[in-house]
Amino acid sequence: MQDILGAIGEALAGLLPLWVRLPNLTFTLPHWAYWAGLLLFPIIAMYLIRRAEQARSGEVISKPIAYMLWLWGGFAGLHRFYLGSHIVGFVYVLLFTLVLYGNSLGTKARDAKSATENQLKIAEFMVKRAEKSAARQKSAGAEAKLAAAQKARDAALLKDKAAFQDQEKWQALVGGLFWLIMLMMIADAFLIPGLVSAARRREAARAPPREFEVMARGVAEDERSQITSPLIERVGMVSDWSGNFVAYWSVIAVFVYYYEVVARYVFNSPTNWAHESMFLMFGMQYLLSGAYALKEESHVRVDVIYGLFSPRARAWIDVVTSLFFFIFTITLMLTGFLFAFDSMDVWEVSFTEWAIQYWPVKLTIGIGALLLLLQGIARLIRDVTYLRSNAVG
Amino acid sequence: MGIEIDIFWLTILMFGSLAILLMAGLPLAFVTGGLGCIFLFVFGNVQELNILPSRIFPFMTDYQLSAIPLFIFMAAMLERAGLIEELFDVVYKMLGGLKGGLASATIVSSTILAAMVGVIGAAEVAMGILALPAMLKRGYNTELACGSILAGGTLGILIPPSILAILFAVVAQQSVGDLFIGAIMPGLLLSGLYILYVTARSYMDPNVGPALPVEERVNFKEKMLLLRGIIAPILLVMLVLGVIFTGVATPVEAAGIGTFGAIFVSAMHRRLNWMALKEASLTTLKASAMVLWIIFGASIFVGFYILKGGQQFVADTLIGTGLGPYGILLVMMIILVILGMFLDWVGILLLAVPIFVPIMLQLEFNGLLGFAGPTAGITDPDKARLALQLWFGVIYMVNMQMSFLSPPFGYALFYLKSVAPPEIGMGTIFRSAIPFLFLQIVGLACCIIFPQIILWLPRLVYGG
Repeated sequence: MQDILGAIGEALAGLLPLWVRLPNLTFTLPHWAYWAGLLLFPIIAMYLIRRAEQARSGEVISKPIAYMLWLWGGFAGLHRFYLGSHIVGFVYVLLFTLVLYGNSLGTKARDAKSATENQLKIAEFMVKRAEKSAARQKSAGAEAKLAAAQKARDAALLKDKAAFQDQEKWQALVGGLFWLIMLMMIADAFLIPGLVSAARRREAARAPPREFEVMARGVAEDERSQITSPLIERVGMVSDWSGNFVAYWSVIAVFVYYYEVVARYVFNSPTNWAHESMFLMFGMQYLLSGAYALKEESHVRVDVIYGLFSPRARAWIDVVTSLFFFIFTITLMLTGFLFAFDSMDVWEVSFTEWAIQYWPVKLTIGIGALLLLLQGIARLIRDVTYLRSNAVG
Repeated sequence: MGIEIDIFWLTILMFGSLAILLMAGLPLAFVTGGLGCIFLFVFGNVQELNILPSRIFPFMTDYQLSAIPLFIFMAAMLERAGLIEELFDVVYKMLGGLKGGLASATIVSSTILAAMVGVIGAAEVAMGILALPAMLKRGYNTELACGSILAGGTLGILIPPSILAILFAVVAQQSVGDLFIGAIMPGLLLSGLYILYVTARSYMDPNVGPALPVEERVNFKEKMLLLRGIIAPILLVMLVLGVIFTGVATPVEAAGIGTFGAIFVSAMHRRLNWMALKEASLTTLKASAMVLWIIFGASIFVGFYILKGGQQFVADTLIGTGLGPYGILLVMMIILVILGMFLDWVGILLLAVPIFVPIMLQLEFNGLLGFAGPTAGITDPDKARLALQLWFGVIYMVNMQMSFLSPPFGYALFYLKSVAPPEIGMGTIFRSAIPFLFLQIVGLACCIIFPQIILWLPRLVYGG
């Protein structure tokens, strides 16, 4: 297998121009693009979702999804599998596997090349030394030494050349395969609309999928959830919106991690920003989602005893225990903002190559606590209103 | 205010107030956070409150933690792809001809599902909806049917990718990959024990779990055709776990590939649209917010306790009992099971692990009943420490699994109750959990007596 591929690579190295090689991905995400992406992507997603909600098309196979898969996974034929043309899909998979295999051999060849390069340098150094000593004292011994050193150098040169050819061979193979895949993908870009309608015709008879809901354990909603006021509603909207906003960040992560893995294992060009940008994004998400989780009752509570009480008693208990909630959120908010301001004063950046600004990340501690505090206040108002209305009625 | 207090009384005060507030129904995150602030102020001063953000910030910049939302997202996406139904459908038809086949199918599907999701709720509920009516219709014994769903569902937090393992690794500062690999054999052992049990009972008394009538069975060719529907998700799981185990990518990168793969699988199942993405994102957000805010609160609470010498106090008390290493391990496990009756797994992890793990590492485990201990044959002290840590980590996970099943407040029991037909009461569900709880104890004991069950696979993978 390796021999056959090697022979193909050798032939390609002679045939293909030099630019037909695997390109390097050297893209580094600029800081402004990171922050702009975090702000804009959720808004775009919200807009698209609203549009999709209004125009509920019955089509299960969608052209945008086909193009999305083409763009992100086209080199492994994902769009072909999606559209039901499995054979072409497997051709892609085969070519892609060969790229990965050729890459691993190429890495080995590169290591071998740098080893022979080193040996060559040493051999050349030995030749120079022998030349010098031969120039100083013209003895037969020195001449013989020089001849031996030159011979060793010639051998090293040959080895280095062979290693270079070996490396070239794999690079040409991978490069050739890569551009072949690219050509196929470009062709597919034009074929996708046709493939989509063909797939739609084939699957028109398929039954729609079943749906079911996952329920969680917890205290059933009591009548308190009916109580509302303009303030409670407005705070609820803020919590909802902030939750929805940061929720879509998870979708960004899918593509960024995917990019990182592909860049590293296919193009041998790991990024210095993917991991950091993503764990910081999730860090901010954790903080900013607290209020939404409170509104949606996602913070787990022990309801063994609490659940036994009447709604009225539960409201009383909630009012009392909210003291601890407020101590926590207010402390967190104040210390969080101080923490962020300290960071802003020195325009703190991370200690990494990417050196992203830290202060917006730190600022989310205070903002998250503030959102949580607002939602907590809304709940307190709700509980108090409930208790008073109940006392009267 | 700077009041001085004896650590014994501080322990009672802290955990007493924690218990009271928890029972009053305040979410755990805010109980621990609020109490943490109060204690910091009362037994320290206002300045000390500034440690709040500096305790939280490291979690915001933790690389390994980002695997939690990613794996939750992957599971949420696969769930929306209608995968659970298809999986059960296939396994059900494959095993239908055996006695107790549906119960075995439930456990097998749960085991495969466990390799896709890291939490237990979803699998438990879905199996309750799908498998329970199917088994009851065929005249299965109710307790056997419920028990197999309960036990199978709890495998989710043990078999990788498990959210519990990620969190444990972050809190105890060890490798996620190691824990993932170490948990596989115990997970399969338990799964095997469950299947053995339901099959044995069905063969002893065919009324307990009858085989499918012959006319409903499918032949070999149809079985192979059935496999086509679940091939994509199975490949995805193999890809994700494969890259973790071969060390090609980190668990976080694997999770990243997994989420993309889940989106692809969802497209293949014709369930991918903006609504599905939105729902999966929101599910992920709620679940990870729940986990992370408990981490934030509890790290303040436990951090203060450890700062005041609480961990040393617990260590001295435990060692002072003169029980020996295995005795102390037993005491810890009993504490975990008791905590598990009331608390959520995240809370137990955050409260117990920072205190227990350092104690475990001080002890020497030289084997039980004449069998070799976890560190036997390892001369390098660093490696021995790692092995011990890994061993305890997995034992902890198996232990936590039991807390989901243990009456009266095990979470799995309530998940099943919420979807079971109304004629199945809580008492029946409790009774059905008992034999499987016993099997879990057997599995746990095996892992303690034969540490190689846990350590063999990681050693094979890492060759050391």
